[in-house]
Amino acid sequence: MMGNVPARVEPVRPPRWVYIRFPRGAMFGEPGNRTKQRRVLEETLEAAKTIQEPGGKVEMPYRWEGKPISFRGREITEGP
Amino acid sequence: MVAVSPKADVSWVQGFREKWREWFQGAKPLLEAHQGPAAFKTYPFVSFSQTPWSPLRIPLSEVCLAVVSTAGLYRKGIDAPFADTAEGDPRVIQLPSNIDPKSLDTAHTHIPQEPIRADVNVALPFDPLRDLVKEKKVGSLALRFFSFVGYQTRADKVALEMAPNIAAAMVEDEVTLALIVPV
Repeated sequence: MMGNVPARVEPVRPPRWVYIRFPRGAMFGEPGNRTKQRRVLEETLEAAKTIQEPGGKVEMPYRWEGKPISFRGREITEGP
Repeated sequence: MVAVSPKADVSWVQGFREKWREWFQGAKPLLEAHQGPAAFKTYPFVSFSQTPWSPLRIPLSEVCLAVVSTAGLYRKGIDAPFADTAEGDPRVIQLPSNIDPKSLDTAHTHIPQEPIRADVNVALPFDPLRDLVKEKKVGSLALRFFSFVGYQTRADKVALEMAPNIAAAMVEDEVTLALIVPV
């Protein structure tokens, strides 16, 4: 599972998850940024192998590099 | 130490349903007025003490992978868009994994829709997935992926209907690894 808000993910107790600091709705990165989308996907799938303990988490180092996303009067580059 | 269980714990459902009814009575006007933060201040969030777990025993190059997206994706001209209701539309749409991403739209009204409309891969990475299969880094993609709207207030319906139906379809498709991508 992927998530961008640990406080919302952790109570659900997923078997394993990756924490990605991208805005809501764009968990794989900026539109058209195929290189980043692929890297996030590949590392997420790798985490399925490397996480050996129930509830384990991998934190991704990537940050949003596009324009902030406008949503309900806010400009978002991370989380909800 | 975290308790591990091979099956989902549903002992919370009855209590949740009672609390949900009470919550929804007060929250519905706020939700219909798109005042989500105010409405969800008193939502009966569920906490779990058990973690479902089964280790992945095969390499990624042998998995049959399915993806579950909560981005509310639907096929233009084929599926009815998800309804924008205060409760949340509990439908699950099955998407062929070989679909053209440009044929999809999002009906999720609680997220920014523009990035997904610009490139569906930001929410469900069809093209990178196909690249990984072509390069034999992932074994295969399951016949079907699954789409629903992440805005769901009926956690009981998610646990007792939506998730088991998705799981049954995955068993039918011989899925060995599922990726859940919330929005």
